[in-house]
Amino acid sequence: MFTALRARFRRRIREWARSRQGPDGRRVSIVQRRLYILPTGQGLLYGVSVFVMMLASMNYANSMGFMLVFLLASLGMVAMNATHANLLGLQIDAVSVAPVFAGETARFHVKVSNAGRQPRTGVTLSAESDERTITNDIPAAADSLAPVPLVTTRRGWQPIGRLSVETTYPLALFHAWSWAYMDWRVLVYPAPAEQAPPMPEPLGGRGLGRPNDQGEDDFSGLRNYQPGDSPRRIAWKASAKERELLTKRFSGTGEEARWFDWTQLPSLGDEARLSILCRWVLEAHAEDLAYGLRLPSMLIAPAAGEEQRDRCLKALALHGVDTAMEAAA
Amino acid sequence: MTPELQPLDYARRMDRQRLGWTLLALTAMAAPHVFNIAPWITAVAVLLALWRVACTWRGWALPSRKLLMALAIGELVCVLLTYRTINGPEPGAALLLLLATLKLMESKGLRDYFLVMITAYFIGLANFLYDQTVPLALYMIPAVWITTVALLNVGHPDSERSLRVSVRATGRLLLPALPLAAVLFLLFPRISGPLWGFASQKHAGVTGLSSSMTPGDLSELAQSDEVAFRVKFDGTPPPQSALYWRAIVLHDYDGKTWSSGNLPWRRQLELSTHGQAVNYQVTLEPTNLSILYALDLPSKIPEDTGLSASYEITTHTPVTERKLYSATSYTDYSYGANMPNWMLRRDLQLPRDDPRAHALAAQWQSTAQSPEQVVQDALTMFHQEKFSYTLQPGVLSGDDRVDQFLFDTRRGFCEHYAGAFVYLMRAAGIPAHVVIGYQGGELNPVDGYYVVRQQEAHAWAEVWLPGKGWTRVDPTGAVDPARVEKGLEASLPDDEVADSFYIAHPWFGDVRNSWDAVNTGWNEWVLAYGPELQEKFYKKVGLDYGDWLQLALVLGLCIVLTLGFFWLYLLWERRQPGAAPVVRDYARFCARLARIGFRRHAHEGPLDYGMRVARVRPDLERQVLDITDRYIELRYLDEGDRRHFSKLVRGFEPARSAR
Repeated sequence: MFTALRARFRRRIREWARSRQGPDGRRVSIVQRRLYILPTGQGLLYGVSVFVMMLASMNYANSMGFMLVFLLASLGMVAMNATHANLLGLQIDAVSVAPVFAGETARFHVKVSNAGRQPRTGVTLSAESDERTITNDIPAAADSLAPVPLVTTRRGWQPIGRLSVETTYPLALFHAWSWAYMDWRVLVYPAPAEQAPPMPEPLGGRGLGRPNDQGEDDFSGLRNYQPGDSPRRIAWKASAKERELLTKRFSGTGEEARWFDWTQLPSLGDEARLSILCRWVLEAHAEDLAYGLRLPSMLIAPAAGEEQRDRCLKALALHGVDTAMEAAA
Repeated sequence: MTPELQPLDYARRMDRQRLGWTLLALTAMAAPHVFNIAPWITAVAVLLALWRVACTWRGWALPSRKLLMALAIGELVCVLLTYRTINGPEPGAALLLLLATLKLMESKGLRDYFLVMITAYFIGLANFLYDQTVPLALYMIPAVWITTVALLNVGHPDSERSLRVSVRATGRLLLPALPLAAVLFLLFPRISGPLWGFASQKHAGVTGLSSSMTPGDLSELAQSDEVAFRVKFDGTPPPQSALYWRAIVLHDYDGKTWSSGNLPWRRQLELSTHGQAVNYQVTLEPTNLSILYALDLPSKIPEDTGLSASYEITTHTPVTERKLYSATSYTDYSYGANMPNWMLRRDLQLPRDDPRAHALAAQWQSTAQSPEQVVQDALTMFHQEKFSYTLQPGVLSGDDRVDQFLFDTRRGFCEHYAGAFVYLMRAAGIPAHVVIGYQGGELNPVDGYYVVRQQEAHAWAEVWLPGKGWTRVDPTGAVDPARVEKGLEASLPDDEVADSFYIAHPWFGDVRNSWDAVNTGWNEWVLAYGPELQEKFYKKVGLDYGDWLQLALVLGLCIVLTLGFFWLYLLWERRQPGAAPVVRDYARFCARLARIGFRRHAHEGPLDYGMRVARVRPDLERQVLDITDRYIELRYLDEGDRRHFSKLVRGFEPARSAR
């Protein structure tokens, strides 16, 4: 009953703040009108204690007691100002967020800039739907980059939602916070299937089973190493000479291309199909194979490499996702 | 480039940080209590703290709830056994300390530690219940600071924060809090009187006069150099020999002890005075008596006090706090000439235990022509026969103590002389009573206050003479006039002087005077600041004491103003700083190069820019690259000499073309 009431109250507050503040862009300055402050539980306890101490001082007509009580009361008020000022004037920038697979934690990299001449201590950032927080100290006249975690649940675009910037520094008596409703989202790929049928063979169907056998002769050149390249494809000798990692490229991908086709997996649900396709894409990429992807709404021509993988994963992530939302991206 | 900060690793070191700081705060706040509470309490608290420390450092499990409950009950019982109560400062402080350390035994997170921190503040407050002296106040300043530093670190444990940083951070909070606290101290309305019942206990050990006198009491007081009260005279102070401070009048004698008995109600008494009225203010230390001291004889007394038939100033409640009051007195007086016989009869009563004294009095009575003559006979006896004034009179016992003193030992302190004199007068049919109070006072040249110490406690007599009324007679003065003229120290044998140390080292007396002036100011302006002084202060600044709305407005305005100033300071601190001097100097350097045709492109870093200039103008290469290198060092590595850089830039005046 009580928790339900509290949840409702919180929702009302959230809606109120949101309608009051309006949507934000990718950069938010924490100004007075978007900075909120309330006492913490400790702060309330502190207040009650100071009051009790005052009663005790009255009872004993104790001047020094009054002095201590008034000092503590003043300290509380000053701490309120200090907590508020600990956030005031900070600037929050959306920097980058890398796509993740559903179920993984996305890291929204937020740049917190402090232009003032006082360091900001204990500034905590968090996304609304994730309980994890990131606490940073931001030196005077400096920036810091905080990876704000957000656990993802389903493929598609996942917005960061409400970003909270909070602090209780210095005395933990007050809690100051600011909410940013940034126009910022992360691309969530489908989770790769844990179990999947083997990758389809190339259409050319030469029947050469082992991928690393094929195309050894069709070496077509070298390119820079990219994360995800198979170690077997690294040109170690050339790399040693050039002092950077190089990966061998192979020609003739046209004949060897395999197609990962939506229709190849007829008996499964949509999400299961997407998961399997995702796994195939990752496997093929790991082997540096060329592959194409055929979805009911989209066809991606066979190719290999990072770009191909990203293009395919994005297509899988956004399969069937509302196009209006897509346009908004 | 923005450095990626790692999230602070709270979980790992948090507990150590919090525990360490909480213990430090508890120690700072509880240290003064060690002198007041029972030793076993300190021992138990220290043991519990050590146990808790071992739990964290050795990884032991914290004790179970059940064990803690058992310990709590055990401690409560022990406190009850020690103090017989849980009310009052000592048992209260003891309980707080024990509970705080017990709570520490189950502390894990912020909430637990915070609770202990709050208790530490309570323990700090309790210090003032025993002692509000300047040294304790001085001690509490760093103690409160340390506790606040601890509060910060308990709320935000971070093992990488240096002590300096947290000390400065809390200093930045305490500094603006001080003026605000001062405003609250002055303006926040004080409500007087105890709110609940156990406020008087703490003065059990007050030294000073009591409402009875047994020979030996005052000579004991004479060993104490504690301050009884301080006086400031308006205008010229009366001479030392007139400084009789009247406190209590003792009417009843039971053969051993003089006591005040029940006060008869006040009647309109005739008062005849001579000479100038003396106005003065008294700062009275707590006495636990419902009596105020005044210069003999008070004519105008503070409001809300009463005057007994024996000219004692009475209050409704015992003086348990330092009290400040003004009064007016005449040092040359007599009163009560119109006192009716039935009231005088009370001051004639005697136990018939001392036959020799009665015989002597009867002899005087038969030979003298007037009561004045009898008084004179008695004083002459004290003066001419071998009576001596001493703090070591020997022991009197039995029923005939007055006889023993008058005829056998003849050694006594003021109380013996006053008692014996009054006895003789009553035996001779002259109404008489003992007055106790203080005689003398020491002028502190530093602040002009007279300090009257317990050692100046004195007893004298008043006799009722027909047609004149009650008149002061000091038999001690007859025995040893120096006591009255010069004070106690001059009249006692050297080895009996309580503070012979000060006489041997006069400079130390100066130190004592200065210290006493500090204490006087402290007592009068800080400790005595209660409803009465506050009302005066309100009047002085033009406020109406009874007007709550006005008060609330003024108080609110003061708070808002103080916080507002602090707020402006914080805003000023948070504003975007102007370009650093180094950047300004570099901009000047670029401007000078631009004048000779080398404008720095927006995309160009300092190094590229410098190289470009150097390539085209080899004659400037050395200077340009030197300045560029230094700039990079200063700006990005924070190394180098800023002033030297500035000088280099100012000295850089490139020619338009290469020579």
